[in-house]
Amino acid sequence: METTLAVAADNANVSTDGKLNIIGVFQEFTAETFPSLVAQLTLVISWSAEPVEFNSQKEVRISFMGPDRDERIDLPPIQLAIPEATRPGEPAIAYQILTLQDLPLLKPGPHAFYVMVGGETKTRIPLYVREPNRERGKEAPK
Amino acid sequence: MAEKLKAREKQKDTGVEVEHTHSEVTITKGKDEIHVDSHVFTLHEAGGATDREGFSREDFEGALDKASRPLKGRLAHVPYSSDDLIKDKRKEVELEDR
Repeated sequence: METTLAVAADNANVSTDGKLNIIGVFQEFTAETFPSLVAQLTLVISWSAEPVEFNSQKEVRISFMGPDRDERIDLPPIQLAIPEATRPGEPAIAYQILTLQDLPLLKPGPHAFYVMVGGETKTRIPLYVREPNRERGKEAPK
Repeated sequence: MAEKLKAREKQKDTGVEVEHTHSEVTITKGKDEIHVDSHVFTLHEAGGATDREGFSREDFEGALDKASRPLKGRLAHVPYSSDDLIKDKRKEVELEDR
């Protein structure tokens, strides 16, 4: 099972005809202060599984890590039941949409969500945390 | 942890059925509480496959006629097949050689 897409976004949904819609993909977040909370963040992962994996169960684990190891947050594991493909001979498709509310950020710098299956990292979703914008509020020079 | 919710939605015209599993959980990290709303969507072939089986040869040929009809007039000069094209080219070459 492999990821075909993995992003952080403002929002996402899947329509009744199986189309994945994603709104506001981003890779950076500017914190107002530290520590800070991200009010809402949506992780979108698209999976593709080969016929040998059909009807099996996979455990997907996602961990969020910053520059320091003590900043690691392990999300609860998610069981993914691999379906049969919609057409014979093609890979099966599954979408995961995770909405996180109040994600804490302790420090600026490179952060990422690591997506793992069977202890192996399948992909990482980067999130660079910027320092507070000190220029904000300053009047433009006349 | 919130109860796991499962739903299946069928789209007949595309032949796809979307299975949706939803669960919610709140995890704690120090004094922070992170709310995780998890959705998994898996795509299945809809029972609408029977609709595809009902698609008969007559339906296919009818659709083909509709598509080919407007082409007949405009593309009447196009050779029927590549064999015909090769035959014509050979004739042209033979005439040139003479």
